[in-house]
Amino acid sequence: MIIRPFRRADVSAGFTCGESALDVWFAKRAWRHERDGIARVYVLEDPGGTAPIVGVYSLSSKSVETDQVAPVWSGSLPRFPLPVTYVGCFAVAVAHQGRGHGRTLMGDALARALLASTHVGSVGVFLHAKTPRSTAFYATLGFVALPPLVDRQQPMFLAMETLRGA
Amino acid sequence: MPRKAPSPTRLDTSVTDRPTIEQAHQLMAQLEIGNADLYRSAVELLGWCVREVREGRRIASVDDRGEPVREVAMPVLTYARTRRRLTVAEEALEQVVHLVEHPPAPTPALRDLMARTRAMREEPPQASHRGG
Repeated sequence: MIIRPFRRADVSAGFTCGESALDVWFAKRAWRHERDGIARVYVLEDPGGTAPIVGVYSLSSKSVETDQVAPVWSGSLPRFPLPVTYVGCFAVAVAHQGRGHGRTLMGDALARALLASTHVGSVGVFLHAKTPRSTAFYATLGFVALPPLVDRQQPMFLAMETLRGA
Repeated sequence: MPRKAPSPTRLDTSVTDRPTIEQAHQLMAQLEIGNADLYRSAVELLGWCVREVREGRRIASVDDRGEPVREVAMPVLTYARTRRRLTVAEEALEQVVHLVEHPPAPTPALRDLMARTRAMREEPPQASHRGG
């Protein structure tokens, strides 16, 4: 198994994780995101497998902000959106789920996020957990569940300094 | 990536898939409107939908009693939802700020994962991006 950058040919290799939005993203958007630099997309590949793409995730820079006008903190951080590294489109193919590949992918994502933060400012890693099970998994790694804006996915955050100490 | 700047005064487009063309003609006939009005209405409606999903809301139809009947699911709206800035609740931002200013110690699971990852990454370097 290797983790490598997404290639155009991966689109035709196909990928099904059981969540239609992610499957559509893989088929229609992943290559565009990678090509245009909107996100960096990585795949876990089983080179000898019949369905070689085992898992996928993307990394991008985003800013966390509230839509409230008034500043909400008085600490030392500036009063503008906070830069974070966003782990998105995190998925393992149906045929490979339950074998620890998610951990492998997340370890890779966090290592890359940490390395990137030495060159580009980022106060932490942000993601959205899609299921209670994934929320529990991310929580074991120290991701803190944040109050959701709406009742959909669970926003979670891991401070970069916490990651740096690991 | 360089792209031709869009014209501020004119928008031309070309649609080639038959189902879309047929549906467009049906709508224009039903509503007695032309190409431009059809496009204008579609843009206005999609623009509203995108603003709504970026605010974290869903697009759905409701019945006479106001009960949701069908939810609109379109890849383009999923995309709009995921491309938005990370707008969070005010308490969430406060929590993020607190975690940044007072970072907790890494959990044992995180330490273990990162140690394993470092060991894996000491293997030969991986390919770069834009490998085709």
